[in-house]
Amino acid sequence: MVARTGTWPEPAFGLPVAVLIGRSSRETLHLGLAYVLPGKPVRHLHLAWHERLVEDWSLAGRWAIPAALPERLALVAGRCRLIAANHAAGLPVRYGIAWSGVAFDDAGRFAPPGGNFGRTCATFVLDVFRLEGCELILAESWPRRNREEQQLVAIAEAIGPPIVAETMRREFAAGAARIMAHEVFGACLANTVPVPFELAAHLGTSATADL
Amino acid sequence: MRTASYKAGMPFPDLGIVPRSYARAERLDAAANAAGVPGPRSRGPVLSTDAPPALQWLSDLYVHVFRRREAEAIDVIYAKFDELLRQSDCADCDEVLANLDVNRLNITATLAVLSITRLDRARLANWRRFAEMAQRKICREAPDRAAALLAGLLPLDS
Repeated sequence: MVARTGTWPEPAFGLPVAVLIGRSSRETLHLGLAYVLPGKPVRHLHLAWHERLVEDWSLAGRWAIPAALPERLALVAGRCRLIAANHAAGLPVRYGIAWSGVAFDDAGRFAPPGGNFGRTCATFVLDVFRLEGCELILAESWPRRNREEQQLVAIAEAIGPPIVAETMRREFAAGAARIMAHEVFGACLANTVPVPFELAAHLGTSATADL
Repeated sequence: MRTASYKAGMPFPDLGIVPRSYARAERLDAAANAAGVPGPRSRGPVLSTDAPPALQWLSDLYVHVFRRREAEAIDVIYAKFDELLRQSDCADCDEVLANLDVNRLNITATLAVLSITRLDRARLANWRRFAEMAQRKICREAPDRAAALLAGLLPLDS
């Protein structure tokens, strides 16, 4: 079990699943998933924004495969296929900060646990791995960071809808920590998972410095 | 050691093992297909004909596993168990767990069954039995990796 990484798009990509990262704006990085079905083109799945769980990915960037067993990665890819097939039959996937439990039921439909409003692009990826019994991060080690929190609230206020920024403020006030895209990507580069904050942030910052 | 003769086109005997003659039958089928020869072909492992209709999809699953179509096997497991788990009493899902033959699943398919059912295990009377069989299979087939393979999927104590 070793983490692997490379530049995306990867024309020869043939592994079951990978975590993707790319720069979506000057301030923000974006995280998503690529997965394969043998004989078919690579597919994507990511939470682009509030109520926008989408399957197209156009960002250049990097890919990483966490240090997990191949059997477990095959299950994660299967879960991606299930969510992609079924999420439209359930509630739209909302954007929210607080992360506990998993926000998808057995069928891949959005069903956030109590106290959770939605997911970010990063916690969506964490959820998919968690559904397969694979914890990528040690969430309790994530710190509160006022500057990053205010930055995200400002983005939400700018692009709306208002309920997203309102919910973010409420969740941050209740103690939720922001888990950022590059930190989850960094966790995918570590030799073992789950990964504490300091290591994930260090690996993620290094890996995305040139994006 | 068990052995049996096998003839292309005949249902596969329920031995829980795959004799070499099956691979030979597959090669002969492929040659017959290539040559355009009409006639029956091997159908791969199948359930015994008295299996309840609700369990016939397991035959497809065993075929996917046998032919090493890993992604297809996972998709069948996730789709069918989701359908069964959405029923209020879970009786059909429990019946599947009681009838699943772990010896006809590979490790990935076994883990997929554990994964898709584990959140509902309190409602499934046969889950623990299946989980114990799955644990034994994985410990036997991949003793060095068993703990890592089962981590997060097998809370037998809870």
